[in-house]
Amino acid sequence: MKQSALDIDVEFRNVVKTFGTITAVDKVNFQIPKGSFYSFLGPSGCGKTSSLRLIGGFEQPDSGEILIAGESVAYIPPYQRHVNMVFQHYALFPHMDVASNVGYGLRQQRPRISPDEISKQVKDALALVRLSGYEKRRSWELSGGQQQRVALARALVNKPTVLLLDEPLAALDRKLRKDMQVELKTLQREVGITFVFVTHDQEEALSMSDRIAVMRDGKIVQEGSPTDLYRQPLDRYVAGFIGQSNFISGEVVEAGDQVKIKTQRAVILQAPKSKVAKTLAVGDKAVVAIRPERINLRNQNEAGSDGFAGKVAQITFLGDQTEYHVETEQVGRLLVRMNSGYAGYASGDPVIVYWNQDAGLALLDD
Amino acid sequence: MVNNTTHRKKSIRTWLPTALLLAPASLWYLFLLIAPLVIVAVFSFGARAPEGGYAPAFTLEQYLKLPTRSTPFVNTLWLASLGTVSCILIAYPLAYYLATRASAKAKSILVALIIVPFWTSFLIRTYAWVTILSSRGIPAILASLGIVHDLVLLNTPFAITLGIVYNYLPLMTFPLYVSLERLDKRLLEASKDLGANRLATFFQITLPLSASGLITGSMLVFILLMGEYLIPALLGGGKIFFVGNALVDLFLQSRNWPFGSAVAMALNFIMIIIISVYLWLTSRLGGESREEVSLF
Ligand SMILES: Nc1ncnc2c1ncn2[C@@H]1O[C@H](COP(=O)(O)OP(=O)(O)OP(=O)(O)O)[C@@H](O)[C@H]1O
Ligand SMILES: [Mg+2]
Repeated sequence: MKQSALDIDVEFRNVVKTFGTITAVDKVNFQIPKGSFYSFLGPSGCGKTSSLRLIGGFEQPDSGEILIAGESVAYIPPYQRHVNMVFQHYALFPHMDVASNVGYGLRQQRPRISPDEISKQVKDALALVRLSGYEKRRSWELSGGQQQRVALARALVNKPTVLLLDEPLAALDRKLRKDMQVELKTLQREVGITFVFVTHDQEEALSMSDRIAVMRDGKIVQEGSPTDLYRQPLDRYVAGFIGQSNFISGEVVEAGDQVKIKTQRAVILQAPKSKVAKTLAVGDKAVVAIRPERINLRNQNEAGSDGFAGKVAQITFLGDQTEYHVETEQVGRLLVRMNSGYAGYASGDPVIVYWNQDAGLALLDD
Repeated sequence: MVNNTTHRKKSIRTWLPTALLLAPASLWYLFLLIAPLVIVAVFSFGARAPEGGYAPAFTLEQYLKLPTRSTPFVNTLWLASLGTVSCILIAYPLAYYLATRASAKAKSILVALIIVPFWTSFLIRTYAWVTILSSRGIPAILASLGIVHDLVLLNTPFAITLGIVYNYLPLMTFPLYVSLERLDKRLLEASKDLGANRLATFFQITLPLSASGLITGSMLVFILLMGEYLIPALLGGGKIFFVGNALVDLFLQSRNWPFGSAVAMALNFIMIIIISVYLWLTSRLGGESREEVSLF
C-alpha cells in the first residue's frame, strides 16, 4: 500500500541524533500517516523522547531530514512548528490558573485573537477533556489526572497538525491510567489530529495505537499495527517486548517456511517462520516463540500423542485467567495461561503441555 | 494521675529546650534592639537640653520640625531606588547566565569573582573608589587622552550609585540566582512549544517565576540602603546626605538627641511601610511560586 506524501504528517529520513558519544537516534526512518495514533515503544533510554523532541524542534538532528506535513522543518524553532507537546510531567505554568494555562498558546498568536474568542475556545477545550468549571483552579489544586487533562487541553486548543505525547500516563495510578487510555483514544478519534505517543508500556501501546514503532538502542526494530507486531514479530526482542512469550532455543536443522529447530535436549520442534523475518539458514541460533495462551495442558492419563510431560511448579491466579508455570524435562519451564474455568490443576500435578504446530513461531535468536 | 505527671514532664521536656535555644537571641534582641528602640521613641517626644542631649518633656515639636530635614529623606529614597534598579539591571543578566547557561566550572569561577572583593573591608573598598573617581583618577586619565575635560565624578549621584552597585550587587545576584536556578526549565520549553518566542517566554514565564527572587533581592538592597552611611559620606563628600549621615550629624555634631530620635523614628516608619509592601507582594505571589527565598 503506497501512501502519497499528503497522507503523511511526520516523516524521518535517516535521522541521526547524538549526544556526545551516545547515539540516541540512529538512522531512523518512519512515516506517520495523517490522523493516526502512532506509538514509539521501547525500554528506557532507547531514544523515544529524543525522537519526539526532534519532531517538536527542541533538538536538531545531526544528519537526515525531518518532514512535517510534507515540508522539511530543519532549523524551524519549536514556536513556529504546528506541533504541540504534552510533556511527561505536564509542565503546567504554576503562576497561572487553568484557563490561563490553556489559553497560553492562543495568546501567542499573531494577529491577536480577541479575549472573548480565547475564553470561548478555552471553555470548549476544557469541555473536551471534561474539566468544565475548573477555569480558576491552580495547577497544585488538581489531581494528577486532572493536571494531565489540562496539559492535553493546553496543547489541543491550538489545533496542531501533530500532537506529541511523552509518556503522559506514566505518573498516573493503574486504574486512572486505564481510564485515560480509553479517553485519549476516543479524543484522538474525535479531533482527528495525528497523535504521536511515547510509552515503555507495551500493553498501553497495544491497546491505543494504530501503528507502533518498537525501538531499541536508537533504532526502530519493527514497525506495524498492534496485531502485526503481536502475531508476526520480527525477532526474539520484539516477541519478548510485545506481550509475553515462551522461548525455546535451539539450532535450525531445516529451513524454509516451516522451520525445524533442534533444542539442546535434542528435541525437534517445528514452527512456521515469522512472515516479516529474514529467512533462517540451517545452523542459525533460533528460538521457537509461543504465546502462553496458545499452550494447553492435559492430564498425563488423558489420550493424545503430542506434547511434553511436566509438572506444575507454580500457579498464579489472575481472576478470569490462571497462569501455570510448568517444569518440563524436554523443553524447560513454560508459562501457560488458561481461562480460569478450566482450572483443574494444582501445584505439583503431573501434566502434559502441548500446542498446535502453527501456534509457535521460529525466530532468530539474539 | 500517673498519666498527668508524665504529661507534665513531657511538656517541660519540650518547652525547656525551646526556651534554652531561644534565650540568647531573645536577650540580645531585648537589650540591643527593643530597649534602644524604646529609648529612641521616648527621646523623640522630648526636648533638647541647653548643653545638648536630652531633656525630659512631652512635645510633638521634634516631629513638626521634620520637614526641615526632608532633603536627606529625598536623597535616600531616590538614590536607594536608583541603586536598587541599577543592581537589578546588572544582576539579572548575570544571575540568568549563572543559572541557565554557565557550565559548572564557569559557575564556580564567577561566583568566586563575585565574592572575592568582599574579603576586603567595606570601608577600604569604598575608599578605593574615592581615589579612582577623584580629579586625579579617571577624570585625569580622560583629560590627558583629550576626551573630556573638567569631568567631575566624585561627590555626585553617579558616584554614590556606583558605590551602591559595587557593594550591593551580590545581595541582588544571589536571591535572583536561586529563583532562576529553581525555575523548571521544562516550563520554558512548554512555552516555546505553545508558540511563544524567546522574548515572549521571558516576559511571560521567566520573569514572573523569578519575581520572588527579584522582590527579595530588591528588599535586601533597598532596606540596607535606607540606613547607608558610608557610601554617601565617602563618595558623596558630605554634599549628598542620606538619612544615616543626617543622624550622625544630629547626634554627634549638634547633639540634638530628641530631633535625631524623631528623624530615626521617621526612618523606621518608612521602613515598616516598605516591609509591609514587601510582605503584601510576596503573599500575592501565592501558592507554589511563593518560594523559600523570602526574607521574613
Ligand atoms: N540532553 C541529553 N544529553 C546527553 N544525553 C542525552 C540527552 N538526552 C538524551 N540523552 C541520552 O540519549 C539516550 C536516549 O534518551 P531518550 O531520553 O530519548 O530515551 P527514552 O527512550 O525517552 O527513555 P525513557 O523511557 O527513560 O524516557 C539515552 O542514553 C540518554 O542518556
Ligand atoms: Mg523519555
